[in-house]
Amino acid sequence: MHKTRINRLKLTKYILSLLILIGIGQAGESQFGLVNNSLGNIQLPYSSSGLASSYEVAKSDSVQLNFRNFATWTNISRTTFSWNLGYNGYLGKNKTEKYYFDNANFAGVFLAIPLQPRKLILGVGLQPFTSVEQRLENKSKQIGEDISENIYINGGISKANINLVYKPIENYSFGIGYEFTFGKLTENVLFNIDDNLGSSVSLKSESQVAGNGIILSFFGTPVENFNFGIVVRPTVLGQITRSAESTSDFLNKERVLEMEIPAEYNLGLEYSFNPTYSLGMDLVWQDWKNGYKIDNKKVGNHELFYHLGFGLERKGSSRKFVKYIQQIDLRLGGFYNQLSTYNDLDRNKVNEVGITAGISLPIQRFKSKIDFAGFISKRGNLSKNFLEETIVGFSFSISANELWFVNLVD
Amino acid sequence: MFIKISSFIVILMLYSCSNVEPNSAPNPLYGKEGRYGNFVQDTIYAQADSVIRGKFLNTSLTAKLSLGEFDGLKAGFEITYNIFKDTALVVDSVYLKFNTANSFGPNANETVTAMMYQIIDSIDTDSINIKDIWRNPTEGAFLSEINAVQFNLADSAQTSVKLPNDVFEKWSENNDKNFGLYFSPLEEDVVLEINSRNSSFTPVLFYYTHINDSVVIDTIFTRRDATVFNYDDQNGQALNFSPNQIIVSSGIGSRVLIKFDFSTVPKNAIIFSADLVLTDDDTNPYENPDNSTSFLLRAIEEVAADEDDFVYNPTRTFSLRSDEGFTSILGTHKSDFATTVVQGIKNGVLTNKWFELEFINSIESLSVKRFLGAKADKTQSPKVIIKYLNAQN
Repeated sequence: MHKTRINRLKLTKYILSLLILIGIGQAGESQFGLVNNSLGNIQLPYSSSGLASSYEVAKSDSVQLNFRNFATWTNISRTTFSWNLGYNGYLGKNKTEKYYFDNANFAGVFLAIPLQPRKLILGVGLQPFTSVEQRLENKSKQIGEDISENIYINGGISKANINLVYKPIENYSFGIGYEFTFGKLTENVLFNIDDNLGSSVSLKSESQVAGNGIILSFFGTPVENFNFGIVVRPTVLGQITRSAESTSDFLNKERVLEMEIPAEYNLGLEYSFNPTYSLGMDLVWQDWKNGYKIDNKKVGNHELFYHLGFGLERKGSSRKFVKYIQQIDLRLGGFYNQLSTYNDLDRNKVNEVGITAGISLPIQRFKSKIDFAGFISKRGNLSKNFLEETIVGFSFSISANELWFVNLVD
Repeated sequence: MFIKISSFIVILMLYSCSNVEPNSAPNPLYGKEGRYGNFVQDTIYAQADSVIRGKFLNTSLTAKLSLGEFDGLKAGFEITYNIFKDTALVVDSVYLKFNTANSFGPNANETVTAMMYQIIDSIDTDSINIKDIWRNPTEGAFLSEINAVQFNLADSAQTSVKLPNDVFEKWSENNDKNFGLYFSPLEEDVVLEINSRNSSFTPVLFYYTHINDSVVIDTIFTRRDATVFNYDDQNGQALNFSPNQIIVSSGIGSRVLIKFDFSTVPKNAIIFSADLVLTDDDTNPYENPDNSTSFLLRAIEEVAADEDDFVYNPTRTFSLRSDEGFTSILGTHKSDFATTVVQGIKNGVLTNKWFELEFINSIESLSVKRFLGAKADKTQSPKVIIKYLNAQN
């Protein structure tokens, strides 16, 4: 009893300490992604398992759903629901000051139903694609007046998809899916004109995105202990609807423009040295420089996006009667990114490098597990970019497995 | 361990969700100038102008009474005192006291002479200054000449005019015969303004009687007073103007209509300031120093043969003020004019034919203001200076 009370006190102090520590933060998003017509910072939604090891495209699991490669779902035998939630903190600095943001985020939610266990799987899901939150200021002199400009940009794009994956022969699975890309980006700008009359101009512009695309996924084990996966999202064709709120009715009129989001290519490899240790890598690339178009014209100010991740996984024991700590999976990884938007003041690219780690805790009672991941990364460099950020993130994924839609007789 | 790690992440998420305000210290906008467009200042010159003479209006509520004649402009005033008694009075003397508010004109020296008349016939009080009988009142049969009087021209000076006792005694005996007095100027090139019953220094009538050896003074205030304005169209010069000029006048009300074409302003302009600027013609001698700097501007949607049928849209007015040779829209009215009128015209929600300019006070006193018009040199013609964001979305 005494020990329980002490533990409760410790937990209370622990929670209070966290609240004080994070009290200095404010809600926000990475400050990169600001170029004209940008859809925001590209999000790469990984499950916590994938995030911890920095690779997932070629990773197969019979309990958790893979967030990157749907073709791996043919390993599940029960209806599985997986979701991921997380927290990111951004410690940033520009050429004049430092700041701290944080936000809650999620990497996706999926439901997979085995129409034929371990053979034919139907899945639906929702994942983030881009996000942006920028607050900026500028001062200029125009028409003989000092003008201050305050801008607030926020929003993001998400993807909702439905996939059908099939394993026609042992060791090889294929998936095909439909994906709807949607979202909204808003820019609020207020100009204050220093003309002793309190003049100001307010403009709010909004861009709504809607696009259709398909997902093609593949997962294979051509030789024992070696997996590879491919996921391709061809060019998304859609529309961007622009409108505004201002005193100009002409500017406020809604305009619908054709839009293309570049194709995304994912390649993953995993090699298991033994039942315990595996090594893997992911490569994701998307040519925003040439493939992102609005009204059939390249948008400009965008770059090739790529993500290179590699990691190591140590699987815990699958035996039931060992110590719990021996059942825990451990993961370690690292990644290197090139962002899709660059600092167009001097046209320097923006890169990010980070390390990741995490664990999986089995929940025997539910034949499931919960994954935890954490990472730290550095995005940008003040020597060549207008910002740099140190990002610290934590996340967890949970899967629930139920015997829905499974013929128990079978 | 599961609980600790999960609660750690959930607490972080919940806290970040509870604070949704973005960074209060915004990042500098490096190299992003012009992301939403650039600011532009544009000048739109008047296409055409026109001067219209207004109708004669009722002047019984003005704060001043005018008396004078200047290059065809003429003003006299009517005044009636509130004599309630209906019994005959024998008075020792009767004086009318007036306070001077202002005077101007090349002949404005120390005094101005006027003829005092008794109004001997009933008049429709609502018709003062409006009906045709007031156009040449001294030639009418309803006035009986009393005598010439002099008024002091110095600002705030008092003038005391002796009223014949018999006039006052007849009014007191029969109040129904009290139709008032009329004063008409006898000198030219001078205009006097007196405080009326609607001001703080109302005209007063004092009459003196006595009881035994004691002098008794009683005071009577005015019941009605009003100025009668006239203009000699055939011989007068004050309201003449050359083709490159426009005039605004009060007393004899004249208004200016000016036309502008805003089609050169881009459709996506977000207009935040618009200023109508007129160049004053400083050769004009007819400016009343007390009424020469304040004007009203309105936007006309439709004109008509009768000025009462003009359609104004919007119905609100914008103030203009003269300063250092220019007349322009006052202060924050520039923003209202921009967003309400000019932006409305660009948005197509307002149909604008003309802009109308007149004195803020067009019935209280005589005054003429001349400006350079649409036919004058471009640098001096009426213009609207517009400031806007040439927006990109």
